[in-house]
Amino acid sequence: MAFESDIGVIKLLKALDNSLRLKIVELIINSSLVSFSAIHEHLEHQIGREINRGTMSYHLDILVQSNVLHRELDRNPEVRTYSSYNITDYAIEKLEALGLLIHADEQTE
Amino acid sequence: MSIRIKPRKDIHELIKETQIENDAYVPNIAICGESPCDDYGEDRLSCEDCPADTRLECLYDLRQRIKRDLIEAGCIAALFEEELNFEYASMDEKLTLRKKDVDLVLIIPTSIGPISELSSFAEDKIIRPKIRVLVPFEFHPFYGTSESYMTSVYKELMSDYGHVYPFNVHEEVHPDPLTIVSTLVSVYRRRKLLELTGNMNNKS
Repeated sequence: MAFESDIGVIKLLKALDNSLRLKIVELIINSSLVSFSAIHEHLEHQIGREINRGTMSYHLDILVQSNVLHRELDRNPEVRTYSSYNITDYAIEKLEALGLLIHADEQTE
Repeated sequence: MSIRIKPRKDIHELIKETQIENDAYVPNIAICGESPCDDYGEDRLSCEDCPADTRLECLYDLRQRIKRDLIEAGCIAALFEEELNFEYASMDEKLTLRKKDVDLVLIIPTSIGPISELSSFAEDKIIRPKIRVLVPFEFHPFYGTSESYMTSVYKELMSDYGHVYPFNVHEEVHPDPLTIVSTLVSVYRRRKLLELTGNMNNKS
């Protein structure tokens, strides 16, 4: 029987096992808080086609529940709720430990 | 960009190894079906403001409860929701569900939207084997008296894969949908783990 922490690592890895989600994480890991709309725009630009917002929400939900991203909600009762995303310390720590992060200076060596 | 992540093939290998090492398979399950009602909160976080008896009959809340149970059981589970209440499966949705990272597609077809989604998924050779249909027993070909176009879709799916399960939210003769999902997913995980270890042993 696996420990909860091991399941956590598998979930994190599985969340990254999709090309769209990987692109989202690579965008966010290099930025601070990124809004839903900015992620949406970036992704459409990267893959050169439209993506509906339902699909975006689906992928972001997987990244949040797998503890890769943290979601911040900005509730404005007069307009609507905006969500923004940030990478979690947990994800950085695990990805670093698993040797999955490539830093720019490593690439140029 | 200053930081990049290693290619997916590296991640994929690591997933395999970690799952075998930990004797655990983590499936990714998409849950399709009823959209939220008009009273649903704008922030789309919860159905908990509704009274308990209304929630028991609410099929959107059922999707949420299935999702919560699956996550608690160590799965990845997400609802697929369309914008603007489209009454058909979008190309994006089909493209997403066709990907290898999606293990199972649970669908509760009880209104025109999810029914047309199911018809569309059932025609797709890649999505079809992933489909698990949960149908109120009244509409199941073997247990109900209702006859419709969907009865033939259910029968076709049943003859191919058998995955059309009658449920009853009041758990009388037929099981509760949460019990069905928990049983199906737990057996699926063990079978996938066996497949993984089998593949690894063949390689060595």
